[in-house]
Order: sequence, then structure tokens, then C-alpha cells
Amino acid sequence: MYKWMAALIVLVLSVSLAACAAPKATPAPTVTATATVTAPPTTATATVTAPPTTVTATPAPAPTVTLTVPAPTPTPTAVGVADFYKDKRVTMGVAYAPGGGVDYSSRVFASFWPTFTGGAMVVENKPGAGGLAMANSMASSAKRDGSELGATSYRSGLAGPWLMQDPGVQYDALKFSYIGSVANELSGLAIGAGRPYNTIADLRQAKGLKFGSLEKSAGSTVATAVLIKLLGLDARLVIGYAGTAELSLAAGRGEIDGYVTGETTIKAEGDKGYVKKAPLVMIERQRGTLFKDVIAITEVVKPSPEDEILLDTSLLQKVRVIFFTPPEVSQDKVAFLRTAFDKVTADSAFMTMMTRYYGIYVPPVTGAEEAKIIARLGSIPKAQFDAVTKLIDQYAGQ
Amino acid sequence: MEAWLQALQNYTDLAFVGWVLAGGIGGLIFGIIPGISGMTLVVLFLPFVLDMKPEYALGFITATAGASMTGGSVTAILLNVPGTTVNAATLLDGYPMTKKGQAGRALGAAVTASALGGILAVFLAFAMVPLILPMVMAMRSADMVFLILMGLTFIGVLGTGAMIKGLISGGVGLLISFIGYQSITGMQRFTFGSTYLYDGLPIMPVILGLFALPEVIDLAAKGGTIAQTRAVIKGMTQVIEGAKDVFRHWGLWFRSTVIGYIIGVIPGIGAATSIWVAYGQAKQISKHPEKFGTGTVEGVIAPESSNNATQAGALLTTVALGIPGSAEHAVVLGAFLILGVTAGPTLMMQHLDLPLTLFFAIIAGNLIGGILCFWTAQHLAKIGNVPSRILVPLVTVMVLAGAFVMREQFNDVIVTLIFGALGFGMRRLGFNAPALLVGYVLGSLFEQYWFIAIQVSGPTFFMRPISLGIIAVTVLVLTSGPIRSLVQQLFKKGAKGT
Repeated sequence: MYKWMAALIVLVLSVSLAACAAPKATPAPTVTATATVTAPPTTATATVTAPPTTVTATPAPAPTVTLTVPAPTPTPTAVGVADFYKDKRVTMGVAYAPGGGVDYSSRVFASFWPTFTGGAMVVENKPGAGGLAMANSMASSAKRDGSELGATSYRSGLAGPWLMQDPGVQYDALKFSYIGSVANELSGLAIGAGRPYNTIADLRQAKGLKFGSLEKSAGSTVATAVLIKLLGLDARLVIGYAGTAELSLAAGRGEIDGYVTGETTIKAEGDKGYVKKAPLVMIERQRGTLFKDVIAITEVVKPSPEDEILLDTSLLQKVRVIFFTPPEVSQDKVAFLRTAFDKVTADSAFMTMMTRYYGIYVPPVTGAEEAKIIARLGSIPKAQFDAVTKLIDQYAGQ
Repeated sequence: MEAWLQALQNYTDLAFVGWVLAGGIGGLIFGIIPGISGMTLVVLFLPFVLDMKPEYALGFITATAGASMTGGSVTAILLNVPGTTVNAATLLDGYPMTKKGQAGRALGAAVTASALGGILAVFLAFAMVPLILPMVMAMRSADMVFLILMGLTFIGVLGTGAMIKGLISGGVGLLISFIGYQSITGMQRFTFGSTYLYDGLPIMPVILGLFALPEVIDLAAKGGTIAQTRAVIKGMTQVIEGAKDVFRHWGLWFRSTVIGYIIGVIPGIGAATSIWVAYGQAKQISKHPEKFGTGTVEGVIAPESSNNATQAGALLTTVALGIPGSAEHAVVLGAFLILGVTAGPTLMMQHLDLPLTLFFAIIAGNLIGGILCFWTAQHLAKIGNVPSRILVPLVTVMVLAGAFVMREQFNDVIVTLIFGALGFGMRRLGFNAPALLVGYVLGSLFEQYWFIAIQVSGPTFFMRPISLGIIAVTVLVLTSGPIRSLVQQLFKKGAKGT
């Protein structure tokens, strides 16, 4: 009897240990590349292979375009930083449980890290408080030597709670250093496949429209409220759907008329037949990347200065996967990390893996750009966000 | 026909069979370990699938999902520690059976009901492929409210007496479910400024604390073995007896499987609801409801056939509609995307061979999980006879590690300990821990759909044929027991009169 007991116990304990260790383990390809020597970013114009603007299931060969990137001029400091990362095991803390876009993007990024730095990267899932737990720990207890990175959903795990002055926030988003972000995309209005609305005029004539949304503080909820206001629609918000899939189903079965989401989602759900094949309008200042013929909302209405600020609060709160470091990491290490990010995201194999998951490859946002966006968001007065909340309450009938 | 042949042909490919086998065994092992499930294995597997043949990767994933829940019942029955959250209802009668020295029988029944439930669900799916889309599209948020309410109403019948204490326990569970971020109002509730509570209390530590720790305390205090009757376990006799029980109660097994399947194909609800609906109807319709909770095999068959069927149903919704059948299946859908396969109606219409291959993989996963568990059950059942001095420290470590491993947060261990104390107190004072769990698990789901239904259709949102139908079925199931007793009394009186 006891031999079976012993065997069971050994099996359970060993698999438990493996399970404990496994989420941290990231596939580490055999590294043959030598460490890349990189300098702090001195802006220079260089010709590089850039990610294609839009790629469907099979990515097209990457076109060669001219971009502005940091110039890789080796300096003694840069060599030191490269050596630091060559010997270092960097930790990528993911703000959510395994599974989902942030986790997947981080694991894929980590698998390319050795190729471009010579070092190793492990992924650790640190879920809690809708992503706040990880951001808080980055601010309070993460090492400042550049060996700890964070990955989160830009909107819900970092910027949103900070802007809304959530009492749980223990960080200042302006103090983090941003490495870059992926999966950034434009938003549009998806209309249920069977709903009789094909033009802006149809929407304006309709009475009692219902637009679904995720939680109250979601960026898409803000965008929907802005849409209703700018177009002057007779519409209300139905808040509380658990995810995009639930919204698609609700739109498909006519429970709601539509919802605001990223254009890759609209394409995917349109192909399945739950929503119309293309968004009715982009809630953007530009036309779609994937749907180039779909007009931007600013082509329909000329926003007043007040509306421009409203639009800003919506546009700056997009969903994307952002990588960042704790405060006080030295500038040369931040520069190295940003360069590594740029190289990884320009790699065709990386693009392929991201394309497979997201449906299209959306060019990444650089760390410097992210820092600017955060600074711009931080400059918007709190009263403005309160006004958006009031607007949401008004349309949700709260 | 060509698609069927193509699907079956995949099973002549040894590499494919190897991946399905690996998935089945992996899912079973990950299902047995408290705190993680087969989906954990799927997540860890995702970054490696890019260069694989879609059939291999998806065969592995679906077999993993198919076998995971079968494994979860093992520790629920033997140690009062559910391997996965959807094995929670199995605790109610599975562990008391172990105490009675009938662990082998309980395992035999659970494994057989699970595996056959999962397999029947696939055949239901084959038959219902043309109906899935209209069925899912017909269900609105209002209908979800009453489906979840059906699970909640069974709070009142879960206990073995003391209805008021059962309702109080369920009410406390509902209150606990309201902790955290309320997505509709955008408010944090009952968090007391702690970010740990922002996401609400994590389910696995709550279950482990509420059920496993009080049992460990009892076992440590009493000494001896779990099995209070030291049954002589000879070979497969007990296990086979358990399997036969499933066939003896084939009506219950069939009903619970169909309930599991239907709830599984409806996105957004999942096995958390189906196990309680299956258990509740089993008790209400049973000729001897008073035996439920004391170690009756029907209380094992109902939730176990239901949870595997739910899993299969949810997986089929994911494949056939491209809509994740449950939160876990979002990961499976992610795997489809990575492999360049667009799940959904188009796949069903244009490449039916792949969905059929995967349906067969679910059957394979259930068979692998079932056969392995069945084969080892006679030995596993002997755990009931292991002295407490060996078992108590091992189970304590297993419970606390299980609470920690899911999110690697020490606070989860503290929650387990707190709920352990609560569970122990409730047991001593005669309150009802399962009712608390049902309230906790279904409370937030109920609230979510309730608010959406109100926003969409106003206060008369229930005036829909499907909602009214579900309400009628709930009332019928709840009143069937009392009505039957009333009729029997009337007949007795009539007989005496004549």
C-alpha cells in the first residue's frame, strides 16, 4: 500500500514544484548572437527594416522604410550596459495571470530577448487589483538596476487608475521609464450584423440606440460616450459586459446595436458574422489602418475646443501592452532597453507571432513616444476626467 | 462524410496520437493538483505551438481540457481538496463516502460519470451542431439571470436540515462575492483600501479553506484514519461497483450530462453554475433527498457528469462559434489564433474535418483520463486508510501550496487560513459551507447579468419565453419534492380512509 502512497506523493509534489517553476520559465532559444553594443539615444536617421503597417494571417515581406532610430554608436558606457545585460537574468513581471494578450506578448518578447542582448529574460505573473498590484510593486520594491521590467495593459493596469486618482494607486506614472508598447490599434464602432444601420445618417435618425461596453472605467466606454456626444445620438450605454466576445454575441443577437473596439477585433468578429464586416466610423482623428475607407469621426463633426479635449481623453487611453521599468533606472540602461525593444519588434519572426495572435501586425509605439503620451495625459486636468465620468453616468442612466 | 473520414484518418498518424495522449495525461495530472488546472498546462504550451501542425497542437490542447476535470475529482473525494474549482460540488458526497470506507466506489462512480459525461456531450454536439448557433443567439442576458438564479435557489436545498442557517450561509456567500471592483458603477466595494481585494477574493483559496482545512483539523484532533469504517479494499471490486452505480442511475447521469452540456455551450456561465444546478436537481428529484450530503453516490454522479459535459460543451462553442465558452477557453481561442486557424461558423462549414478531429480528441482525453483514474482508483482509495499522523501534514502542505501556486501571493495563503477558521466555525455551529460557496461563486455573475438585463430591457426584462421557461423549470424542480410528499400523504390518507 505504502509504495503506491509514496509514488503518488512524489508525483504530486514533483509536478507541483514543476508547476510552480514553470510559469517563470520562458523558452530560451539557443543564443548564438553576440551582445549588441548600443549607445544612449542620439537621434539619427537610419535605414532599417520596419514592421509592415498591416499584415493579415500570413505576414507580407517587411518593406524597407526610413525611420528615425537611436544611432548604435558604441561608447564605454554603452559597452558596460551591454555587458551588464549579457550576464543578467532580467525579470519581466506581467500584471495578469497566465493567458491573455499581455501574458502572450510578454512571453513572445522574452523569447526574443536573448537573441538581441545575449542575456536571459524570465516572465513572472504578478496578478492582482486589475493590474495595479504589479505597477505598485514596480514603484515600491522593484530593483532600480534595470533588471526588472513590467508588462501591463496600458489603459487598465497603468494609466487609467492613475488618471482617475484611484486610492489604490501607489505610483506616479510619470516616474516610470517606458520601453515601448505593442498591440496598439485604432478604435471604431462595430455594428451588430443584423442591425439596420449602415451610415452616420442612419444612426442619427435612430431612436433609443444601445451601445454595449465593458466596465465603467474602460477606455472603450469613454470612447463610446464621446461618440454619442459628438454625433448627438439618441443612445444609451449598457455597461458591464465581461469581454469582447460577450459584446460580439450581444450585438449579433440584437441585444445591443453595437460597441466600440479595436479594428482587429471588428475584422475578426465580422468574419465570424456577429458584427458588420467594417466599422461604421472610427473614433479617431484618422481613418482606419485596416479599414482605410472608413471615415474618422472628426470628418463628420468638427469638434469644439471642449470636444477636442474630450476626444483626447478617449484617444490617449487606448488599450495596448506596455513595457516599462521602475523609477530611477539609469538613462543608459533605459536607452539600451529601448533599442532592444525596437530590434525585437522589428524582427520578422516576432511580427509573425504577434500577427498570428492579434490578426494583424500593428507597428509598436517606441518608449520615447510612450513617455510623451503619458506626459500629455498627465497634463489634462482631473476636472476633465470627472466631466467624462459624468457623461458616462448620463448615458448609462446612473 | 469525407470530413468524418479525414478526421478519423488523423488518428492513424502516430505523432498526432502521441500529442493527444500527452494532452490527456498532462491534463489529468494538472487537474489532480489543487490550485492549477489543465488550462495552466495549455497556457504554458502556447509559446511553443507556432511551428506545430495545427492538428497536433489543437489535439493536445483539447485532450488536455477534456481530461483535466476527471483528475480534479480524485483529491476532492479522497481528501476533501478539490483539484479544480468545478469539482467543489463533488466534495459534498464524495468525501463522506471516503469516510464511510467507500472511496473506491466514489472514485469509480466519479471517473465513470465524468468520462462518459464528457463523451456523451461530444455526441450531443455532433447531433446539435446545426442548433448551437440559433440556441446561443437566442439566449439573452435576461435568460442568463434566471439560469444563474436556478443555481442560486439550490442554496436552500443544499443543507441536510436547518434551512434558515443554509440561507444565512448563502447570504454571507453573496456578500463575499460583492467584494472588489463593481464594473457597472466603477466603485470598489468592501475593499477597505486594500488593493489585494480589488479583484475580489480568489476562489481557490476560499474553497480550500472552507472545505479542506476544517477536515484537516478534525482529522488531526480525532486521529485514526479518514475512513471511519476500515473497509477491506480488494482489487477493483469497489471501483467497479461505483461504475455500476452510474449505470444504475443512468437517468440521473443522462440528465446531469445534458444540463452540463447546455450550460456549457452558453458562453459566460460555465461549470461553476452547472455543477450546482446538477446537484440541486439530483437532490430534489431523488427519492431519498435526506441522504444527500451524507455520502450518497448520486451526489457524486450528478456534479461529475455535469462538469465534464460543461467543459466539452464550452469547448464546442469555442470551436464552432469562435466565442470562448468560458473564461478559460479564451486561452484555447488564443491558441487557434496563433496557429492561424479562425474558429467559428466558417470553420465548421468549410473545414469540418478539423473540428471533428478535435471533438474526437475530447473523447480521447476523457477516455485517457477515465481509464488512468479507473485503473489507479483501487490503489488511490487506500488513502482513506492512511493514518492521520502521515496524512495531516501532507494534506496541510498540499492545501497551502495549492492556495499559493495559482497567483504566487502569500495573501492567498492567509485567505485560506481565514476561510479555514470560518469553515471550522460554521461546521461546529451547524451552518452550511456549500451554500456559502454557491452564493460566493454565483453572486457576482448574477449581479453582472442582472444589471445588464435591467439596462437593456428595464424592469420587465423577464417577460421573454426563455426566461419564463427557466423560471417554470426552477419552480417545478424546487417544488417537486414537497409536491410528491403531499401526494404520497394524500394517497396514504385515502388508503386509510378506504
